Amino acid sequence: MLQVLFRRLLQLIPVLWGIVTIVFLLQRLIPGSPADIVLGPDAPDSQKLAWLERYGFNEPILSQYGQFMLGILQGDFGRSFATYQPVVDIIVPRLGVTFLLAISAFVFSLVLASIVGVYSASQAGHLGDKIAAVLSLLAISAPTFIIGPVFLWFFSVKLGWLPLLGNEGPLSFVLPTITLGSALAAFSSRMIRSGIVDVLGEDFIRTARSKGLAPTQVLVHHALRNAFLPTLTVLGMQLGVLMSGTVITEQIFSWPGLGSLTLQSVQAREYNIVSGCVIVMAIVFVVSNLCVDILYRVFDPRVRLS
Amino acid sequence: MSTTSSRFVQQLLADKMGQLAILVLAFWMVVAAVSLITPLGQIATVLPDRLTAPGSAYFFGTDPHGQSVLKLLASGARTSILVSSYTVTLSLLVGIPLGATAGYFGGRIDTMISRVIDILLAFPPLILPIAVTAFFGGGLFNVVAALSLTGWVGYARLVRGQFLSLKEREYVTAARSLGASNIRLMVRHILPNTLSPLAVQATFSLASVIIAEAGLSFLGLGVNQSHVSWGGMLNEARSYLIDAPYLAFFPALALFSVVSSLNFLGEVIRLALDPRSSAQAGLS
Repeated sequence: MLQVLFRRLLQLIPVLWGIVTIVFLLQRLIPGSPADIVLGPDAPDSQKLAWLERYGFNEPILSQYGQFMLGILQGDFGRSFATYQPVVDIIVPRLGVTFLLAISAFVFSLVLASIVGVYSASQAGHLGDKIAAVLSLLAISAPTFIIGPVFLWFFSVKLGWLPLLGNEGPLSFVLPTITLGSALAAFSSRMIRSGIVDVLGEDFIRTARSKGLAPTQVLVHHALRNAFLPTLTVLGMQLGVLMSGTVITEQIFSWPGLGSLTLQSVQAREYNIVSGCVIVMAIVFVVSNLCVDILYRVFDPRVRLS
Repeated sequence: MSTTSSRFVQQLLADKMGQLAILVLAFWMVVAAVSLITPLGQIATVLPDRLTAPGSAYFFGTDPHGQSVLKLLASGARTSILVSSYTVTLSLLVGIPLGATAGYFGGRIDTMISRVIDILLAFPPLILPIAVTAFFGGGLFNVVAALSLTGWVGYARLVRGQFLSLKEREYVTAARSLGASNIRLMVRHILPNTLSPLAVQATFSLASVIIAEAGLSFLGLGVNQSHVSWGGMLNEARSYLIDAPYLAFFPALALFSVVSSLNFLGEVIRLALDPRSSAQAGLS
């Protein structure tokens, strides 16, 4: 087990190196001098030179690369162009807010998917199952930037039930959570359904039934349990997808997280912050995938042994 | 391939949802074509008429600039089709050769290509295109390039896997012993056998590219400056949700109809290729 963990961590190194390198290359490939972009082309040359020196952009590209890499290894993502504040200090609080949203969407989709999945499995082949199938395919087809404005219009503008924008109290979680989580919920409800249908023919289900357990209890306690593990893996892999979903969801609801920070930084040409955000999102994605993989091994002895 | 595609056509026509999907897609193609050659494509800015509600003067109303929402929608259909077909083509052009080379030759070159793929897959979806358009700006060319940067990976992985298994087949060995060159073996003998799974994946990715382009444009990083985009229309509509909700309604409906049609289509193709799953899926 420890060996597997160690090998996995080792495999992570080239991937992380690649992420940082790609982002570095992209940022340095921007046409024109960064000083022109930030200070404006009409700024005096002496000012531009001083600016370039301050941010290390006047050094040879390879030494810039080395410093970028070293900095990130030490948790230093450079400094903001506008305020000279370390980028990490700007990113970290925003990351927390994004995590809150992602976790809330994750839990929401898990709960909804279990309910719908168990229901459609119990109705397999009947009308309820078919309706659930079509509804979930529709939900998967509706990207966040369609669902979001529609919900916003209906619940906040039309009905006035929920706050329009921002993060103020628990009620403001409702719409962003549903918007972000609905596609995932639809997707995993299908997985749970097929997982349950697959085990319904097994002996242990027949035993449970013949013991006289109520059908719901058989479905929830025996069948759902078995369907849950593979679903959890897929859901875990989707955590990273949630990360990119947050960018759009945060834009819709003016949610003060990492996604809206990225977009604000693009507008303000704060390229160091943009790079930092992209790298942090990729690292979160890679690490969460790794965690899911390891957790899967912990929970499922069959995988652990093989 | 021919038996698969004939079964596919049969299933598609038997399936009500499949028929509807084809109809919707055909409708948008026609709209895009019509907007290319008729006055529907010329979007006038009539400032006094801005934010007119849908009615007899403007079928779908007008936007804050006094442009007809109907014409904008038609133009947006054109953009969606352009971006998705360019991106899928470019991704195929990059992904097939790289995947084929990795799978056929194996060894060091395979390791190298596979590493690059691993690294590109380490970015959450849409994040790398966001980074590219954030640094280099939007526009049709940049959006297609940004989406293709990650788009080729799926095809390369698919083709690599196919080549890896197909290169060991007897017919390949036979052709090689007759003196066929590596290039000939790859192009004439192995590649044709990878085409049908590629077609499936291309259909699915048309949908995902349309969503991705709309997403980028929604974030203000898409084709907005040069082309009309449904995503961009949705973004603009957000400020007018109270006074003019129809501004959000129509592009949302358009996007939703295209994407769900492509997804239904993809589902039908998947079932046609994998008959075992049709019993499980609970669709049809």
